Amino acid sequence: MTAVSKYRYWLPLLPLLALLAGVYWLDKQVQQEIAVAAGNQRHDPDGIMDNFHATKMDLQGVPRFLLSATQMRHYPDHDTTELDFPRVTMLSSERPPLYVNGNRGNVSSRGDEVLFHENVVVRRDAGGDQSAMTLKTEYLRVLPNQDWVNTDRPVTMFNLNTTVHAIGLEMDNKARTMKLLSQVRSEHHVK
Amino acid sequence: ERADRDKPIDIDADQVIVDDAKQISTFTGHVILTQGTMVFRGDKIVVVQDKAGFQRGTAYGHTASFRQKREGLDEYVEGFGERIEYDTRADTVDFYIQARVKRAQDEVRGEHVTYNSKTEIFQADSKNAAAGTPGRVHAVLFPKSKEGAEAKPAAERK
Repeated sequence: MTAVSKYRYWLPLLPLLALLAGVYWLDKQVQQEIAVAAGNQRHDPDGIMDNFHATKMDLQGVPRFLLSATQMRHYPDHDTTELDFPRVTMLSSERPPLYVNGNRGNVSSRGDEVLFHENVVVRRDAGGDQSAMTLKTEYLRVLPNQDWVNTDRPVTMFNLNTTVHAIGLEMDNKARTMKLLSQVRSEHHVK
Repeated sequence: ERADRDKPIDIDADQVIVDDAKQISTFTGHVILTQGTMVFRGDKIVVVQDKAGFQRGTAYGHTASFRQKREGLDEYVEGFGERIEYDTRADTVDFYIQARVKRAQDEVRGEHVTYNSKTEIFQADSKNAAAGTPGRVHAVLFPKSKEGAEAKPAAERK
């Protein structure tokens, strides 16, 4: 294969390379227009729902998680959802239900985390040998799928004859344990 | 004193884990349990509660301590031990492992000392003393001077 035939052997590649360069340049032009179009960063809801009740079932079709609120607004820019006066109920066959409500709430984009703000109240009815329990705080994070509730804010817990003040809480509703994280002050009134 | 029984029980601690299934609260970190004049201190206090109310408390500590005013006297009874068990129903306080109970100048030492806060009698024994320790009870009783309060025998030897 002499130098000339080698040269002729590569000749057909040239038009292909030119075509490739042209396509690449065209794609560059189109990209810029799309970026400009989504420039308006206003934080506006793209969906509002009023006075709704949502029920989530488990695999057996038994209701496990109820969510209701006076209003829900969805914001596309962060894909977050804000709730006014949200109420959550976590149901289970072996344990009394757990109710959580507050003034404001928001749901993460994947919907597996609900944050409660202002006048947050957690309530659990009496059940088995356990007395009813009420808990108050200003901020609470609820993970319904893991039956987990926690906060790092001051917490006040009341049950039949005990009042407990503390800062920080981790509540595992599945294992039915509640951990108060610091500065615990409990007062128990003997009947 | 007897009036302590219906006073509220305050517990201060760094942390608490409340196990609702078993109704057990485990307080940890500089724990102070107060009921009227009675005070428990320890690194950890486990409280078993039932719906009726406060049942049994166990204080653990390098030396957990107990203190209570005597009925009608301006005197305190103090007790120390690695483990102190308190039961509201039976009104007894049990001190285990290097147990030591002091009342005014009288002091009793042993592996296990029981103090009944109703009758104010305490009893020391070394039944469950660890193997190898002499398993003896040691009591120090100060005779009250004539004009002082008559000296009640503080402890029976076991």
